[in-house]
Amino acid sequence: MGGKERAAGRCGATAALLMGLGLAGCVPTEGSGKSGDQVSVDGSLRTVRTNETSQNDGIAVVAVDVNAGETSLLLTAQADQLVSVEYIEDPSGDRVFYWEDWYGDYSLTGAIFPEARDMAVNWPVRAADAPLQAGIWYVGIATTNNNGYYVNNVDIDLTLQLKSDDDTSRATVRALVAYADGLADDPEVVAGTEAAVERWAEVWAAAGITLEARFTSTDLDPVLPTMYDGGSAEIRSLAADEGEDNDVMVVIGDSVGNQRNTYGISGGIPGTLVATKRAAVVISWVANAGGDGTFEDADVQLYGETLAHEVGHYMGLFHPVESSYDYWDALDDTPECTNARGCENNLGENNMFPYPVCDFRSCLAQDVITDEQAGVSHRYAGAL
Amino acid sequence: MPTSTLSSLALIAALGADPAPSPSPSPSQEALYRALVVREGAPTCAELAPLSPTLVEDLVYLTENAKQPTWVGIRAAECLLTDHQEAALPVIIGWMGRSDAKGFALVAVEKLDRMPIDRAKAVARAGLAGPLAETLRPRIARLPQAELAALATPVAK
Repeated sequence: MGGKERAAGRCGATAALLMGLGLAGCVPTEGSGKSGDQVSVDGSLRTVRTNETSQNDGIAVVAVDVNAGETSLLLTAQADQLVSVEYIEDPSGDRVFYWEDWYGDYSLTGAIFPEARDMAVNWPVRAADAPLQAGIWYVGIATTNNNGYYVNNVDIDLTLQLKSDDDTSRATVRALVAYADGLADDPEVVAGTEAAVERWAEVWAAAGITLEARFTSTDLDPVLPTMYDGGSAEIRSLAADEGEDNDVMVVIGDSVGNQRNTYGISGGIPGTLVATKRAAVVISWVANAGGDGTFEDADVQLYGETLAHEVGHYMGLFHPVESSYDYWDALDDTPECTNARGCENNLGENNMFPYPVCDFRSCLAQDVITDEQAGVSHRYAGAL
Repeated sequence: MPTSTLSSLALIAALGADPAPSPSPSPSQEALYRALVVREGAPTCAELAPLSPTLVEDLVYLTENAKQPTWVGIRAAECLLTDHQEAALPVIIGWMGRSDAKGFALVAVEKLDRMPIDRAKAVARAGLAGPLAETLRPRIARLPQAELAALATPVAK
């Protein structure tokens, strides 16, 4: 154990201390291009599988060799301790991202939170962020325990996915919609879900994203695993067996985690494209059909917008404002509002607003995606 | 009003087919609705209690009258099933026998493990005897409690 609480730690300060002790903390080591790395190319997505070990400061330094023309990086880390992103440095050594800068009122990536044994970080997120350029980038991955302390010498499996696509106006996202056991045989669920996926595609089309959805049936328990508490082995198996390294998996079940409050969860902001325990968006069809268990037109609209919303999280989007009205996303074109009335007036039709604006009988359509939100989605490595 | 003193008749009336226009929501019903409307991270059932002096009746009202967003009624039903199942039992049993309450019935099956076994059996049997039996049977058969799962298993002849 590193014995150092992450919230108080800075890699640079720790490195200086360790150097003084004759140790080599925070010194970059080559993390890609090693013998044993597995490299594959699928269209405009290059995938490198490698591994790294956290050093004496509880941080693994991953070197990412970015080729000319590659515009987005998605790094997925899996370990037997909690993993999170510490920093990102560009080829000139400038630190373009540091976790603590985003540990406040504004959200850029969920990858800073050590909440699971897998983690995905996509870079860049916004147009304002340092764009990828050819050369060696370094990503610091923190390994911490459940008490928030850095842990040393943790082996990390890494998947680096690099996208070559500088068109941020058009993209295609492939989604695998997987029904839990028995649901593919329920005509009401299938018809409602397929219609909702059409609505989801409509919402995204306005942002220049073409949705290519395929459907499959599974033997997953309809009471789906929650993506909180680390996800589940069943999700990882399903992603490995049915998924591909360029698609987003959406699992439809009766409920999520057999608990209230959660009817749709993204396995990260952003989520990963490779098989991990949280490699999915999980959605309750019952919550979207309502008490009668049938899909009327208004239900389908809401279900489709919820799919777009949850997968929007998966592609890196936060709520423009949280429902407590005191946390915001990092985007400039989503107004910074501070109360229900103001937020509903300014953002109530935004697809990423935290709740639909409704009376008891109907809801506003939530199909607005701002230019910057669309940009975040287009920069996600899975938007090809 | 303490839930233990609630009238089952009042709940049964709330459950009824309701051909008449729904009454406008009361302030407490409106407050509960606003609390449950969020997509993620809704308050817990315990956190809802301060919002209503007549929580069970108001939750039942939401199950019957909050049509959009769809999850408000589902969350209200879950709260009845987890924290107020004794007071709401007539309503819960009613869902199990209604073809237009499939969503509520599915939620009820998921919550059977939080009920005393005799109550859970009564709810399960009501579902298996009603128009939703085909939908509910495989879910009941999956339940971890053998006594409940056995209810959905055909008896060998």
